[in-house]
Amino acid sequence: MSSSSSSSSSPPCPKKMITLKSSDGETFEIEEIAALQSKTLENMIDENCASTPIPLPNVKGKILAKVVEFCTKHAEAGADAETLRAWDAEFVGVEHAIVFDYILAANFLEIPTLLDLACESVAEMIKGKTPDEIRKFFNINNAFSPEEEEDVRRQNQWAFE
Amino acid sequence: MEEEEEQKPAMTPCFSSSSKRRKSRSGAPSFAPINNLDDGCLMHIFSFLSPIPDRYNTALVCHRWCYLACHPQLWLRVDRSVKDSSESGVFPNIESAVSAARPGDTILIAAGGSHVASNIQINKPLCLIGGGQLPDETMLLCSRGSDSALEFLSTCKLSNLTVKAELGCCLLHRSGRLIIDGCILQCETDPLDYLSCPIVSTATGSKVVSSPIGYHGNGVSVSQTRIEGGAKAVLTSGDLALQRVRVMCARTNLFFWFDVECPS
Repeated sequence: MSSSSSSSSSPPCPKKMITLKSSDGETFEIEEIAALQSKTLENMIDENCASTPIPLPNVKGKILAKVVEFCTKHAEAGADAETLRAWDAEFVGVEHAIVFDYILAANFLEIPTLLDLACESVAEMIKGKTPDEIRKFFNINNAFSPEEEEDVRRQNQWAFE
Repeated sequence: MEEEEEQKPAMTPCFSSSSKRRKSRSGAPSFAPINNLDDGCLMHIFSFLSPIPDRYNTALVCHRWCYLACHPQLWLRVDRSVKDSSESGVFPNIESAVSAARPGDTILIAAGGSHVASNIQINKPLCLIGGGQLPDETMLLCSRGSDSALEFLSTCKLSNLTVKAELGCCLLHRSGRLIIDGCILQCETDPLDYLSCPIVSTATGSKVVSSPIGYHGNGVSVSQTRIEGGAKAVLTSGDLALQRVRVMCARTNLFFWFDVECPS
């Protein structure tokens, strides 16, 4: 499980850890095998930049903690799909603003599993709602004039006839 | 952002509304955290929504969402040079794209060369768009032995494509509303032109429902389309009839506008 090309001279430890530093200065430790879920971190590990703490200026400490938790959970061997799915559902069952932060972090760190999970949960929030309900839910200003709205409706109308 | 009219002297503070298109930002701008996401992330979210009705509903939310929900990046693409199915959303032929598409999806067909289209049945609302600048650049070829290139059992839209049938017909319309905009339909010319026909409609007229949106019911709507070859442009074996035909003669081509509908 440990990498064969270990550059550190310390005694071989069973799990190789990587240190990540958030935008607000907090540091987090993550197992290398869990970090490999992030393509960004994987590239850094491959290029041997992972021996010092990796600064992540785009991710706040609060979010980075959760991302580390996610990657660690998903790197666990022997987790069955059902429990993992339930755990995932709980993971994104939080305030929207936090889910958006997950999306931004997963996008920056290139973690496809987290990105898909978070995006799909936002899509679930949009499903079945009318445009007005969507605007209210996400607090979006309606910048369409009635004529513009009519234009958009007409453009897409072909599919509804 | 506030108006920049602060310098105007002795004016009652009011929004300058010269046109009836007044921007509805008459309060403090509200903060929408979701709009903090960049375009790629929002499009990724929209890709999980089915086009009908959810993605079309998101297009009505605000300008930015409209731009992203209708963005070509969310379309399916047909590209003959694709070897394997590694890239999602890209298909080597039209049949696979049609079967993978969800109702309401748009399929962009790559320009250049010709795509084989042989009796492709479409039974869900789809929009097929040619990827070139002109309809001539994207060619769907229906070779001898096939009845038609495309067979429509559902409302569909075709745009910017050329459909060429060697024998048989280009488009077979069974039901739903077929919209053909800016296309080229080519059939056999003399002496075998009686054998092929650009549009064949076997649909029957249903009750005409008049609504603000327009005509509801089975029919074909053709606009700005060149029709070449074939003895007749439209062959109907159901109740529908040709209506409102207009022709524009350009230097080398004829452009048609017409509808095939239940005669009222």
